Amino acid sequence: MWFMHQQQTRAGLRLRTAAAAAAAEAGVHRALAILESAARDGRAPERGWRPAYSEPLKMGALEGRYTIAIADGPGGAVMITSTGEVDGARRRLRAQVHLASPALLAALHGASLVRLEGAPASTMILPYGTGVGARTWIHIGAGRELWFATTDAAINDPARPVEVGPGPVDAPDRQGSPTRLQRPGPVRILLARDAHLTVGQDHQRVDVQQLRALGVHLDGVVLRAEPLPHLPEVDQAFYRALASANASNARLNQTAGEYLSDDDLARKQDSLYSPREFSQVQVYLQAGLAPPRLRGVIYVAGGVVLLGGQRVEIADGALVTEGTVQVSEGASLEISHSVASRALPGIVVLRAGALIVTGEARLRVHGLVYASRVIDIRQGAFVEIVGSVLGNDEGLSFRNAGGTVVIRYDPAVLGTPGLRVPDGDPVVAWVAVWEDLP
Amino acid sequence: MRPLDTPGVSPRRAGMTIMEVLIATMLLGVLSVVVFTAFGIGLRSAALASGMNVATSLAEETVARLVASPCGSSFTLPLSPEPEDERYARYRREVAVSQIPGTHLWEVRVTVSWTQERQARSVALATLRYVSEACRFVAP
Repeated sequence: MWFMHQQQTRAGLRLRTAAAAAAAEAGVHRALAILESAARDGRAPERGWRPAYSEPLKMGALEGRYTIAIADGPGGAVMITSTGEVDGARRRLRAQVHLASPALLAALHGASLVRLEGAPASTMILPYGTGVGARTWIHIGAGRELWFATTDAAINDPARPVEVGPGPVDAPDRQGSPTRLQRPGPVRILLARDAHLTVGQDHQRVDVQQLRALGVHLDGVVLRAEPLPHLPEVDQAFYRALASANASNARLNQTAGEYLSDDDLARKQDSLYSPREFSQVQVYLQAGLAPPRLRGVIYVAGGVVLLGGQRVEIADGALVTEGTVQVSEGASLEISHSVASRALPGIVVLRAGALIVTGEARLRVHGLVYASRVIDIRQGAFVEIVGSVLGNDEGLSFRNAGGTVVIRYDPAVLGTPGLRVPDGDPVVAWVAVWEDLP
Repeated sequence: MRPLDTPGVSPRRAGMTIMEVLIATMLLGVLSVVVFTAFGIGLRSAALASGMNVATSLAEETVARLVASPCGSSFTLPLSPEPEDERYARYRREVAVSQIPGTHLWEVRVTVSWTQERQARSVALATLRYVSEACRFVAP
């Protein structure tokens, strides 16, 4: 009998706990609204607001309330803690949120002109991982023009099967083994105000129906009433500091320096290289005396050229350069992440540098690929990205002129550290981690 | 060994008097009434608890379905008042989703009601959902 009475008490507690959880979730969403927009509802505090905030939430006969606290978290994240309380029952949720540029919602974002060509060029864009909302990312964004330079431009062509390597969160048994891509869906395109879809050498303007008639696997086009937001600014000092603190390549520097009789390189503890130092490391790696593998964030104060046959791998890190990165004929550059390093960028090319991948070269990158100038994929190249691609050139931002490009959009790029949204630009709040707190 | 019946000696028989039997029966009756009443109340409590648990689960499940889409397309999900599972045919759910004026916040309210012991009962859950700038950016 006592047990049966307890059941009713427990049922009441269960309802109040469920209501408290709903109130806590309401608090997180209220906080997201505050963080994304300060003034839209006229009630919310500023985006930079941090003190606690509380509101009632009535649930039938129960009086609920949520209280939110916002604090700065690691890596530029914002931590939202929301406590829901209903009639003595209490639930707490914590969300790690990143405020990112909406430009990172596109798998391939060109600040200006994006140029795609026909066979042998092939471009595939798909989502990566589970839980990527069908409508919270877009395949291609173009600020001025999306140009199908030939009428047979192949994008997400289901007739072209492609095998790709594992991504950062794939199961261990899949590491190293190629995966056949799922059938790609039709492409959605984001165009800025006054941007156009064009076809052919004379840039003839076309609409969605005409593109479909040409065989482009197209879902639709989102036309914005304003220009695309600026690409995020890269905090150069942040990446220099990460590379400066990265001592995991000290042993490689030492052996490379000894091999090449370069005392400065042999004594080098950090991963902040001059172009000459990095080319010395490349020469040593090409000699085959050590696995061609670096670790962590590598910063090169200049450009990087990988010549024919050279192979460089960077594990759990990124390649940040102050000049053009060129992966030449037959060379290979691979930057891989694990779950822990998933949010890091892959390649960041600063200071008017471009990213060029030439014939028969292979580029495989996890994380954001960002270039201040053009990203140029030439005939015969194979490029595989798990993340997103941003080309910031005011002229030609991205070109696939005969390569195979596979981009699997990973929403984790929204949490890329070391990026700043320009003042006054919109932000999107991306929840990286949800936690139930005791 | 003592004989059962000794002539000239009045026998003192072991056992209960009629009065004792009556009192014992009365006590047993009172105790039984108490036990069965308490048991009945317990059963009733258990039934009410079960009803409330089912209603809470239905409300939770309905809220989860309504907020499943991050961009809010599930807010207008056509949910009938009757749950799909026939076992819960006595429950009715009422859904109200409304945008808070001037914001991109939506209030989602679900009330599940039922009748038990000739009394109307209900549980309600409410939460907020924010439709992110991301949704408006890539699919306005």
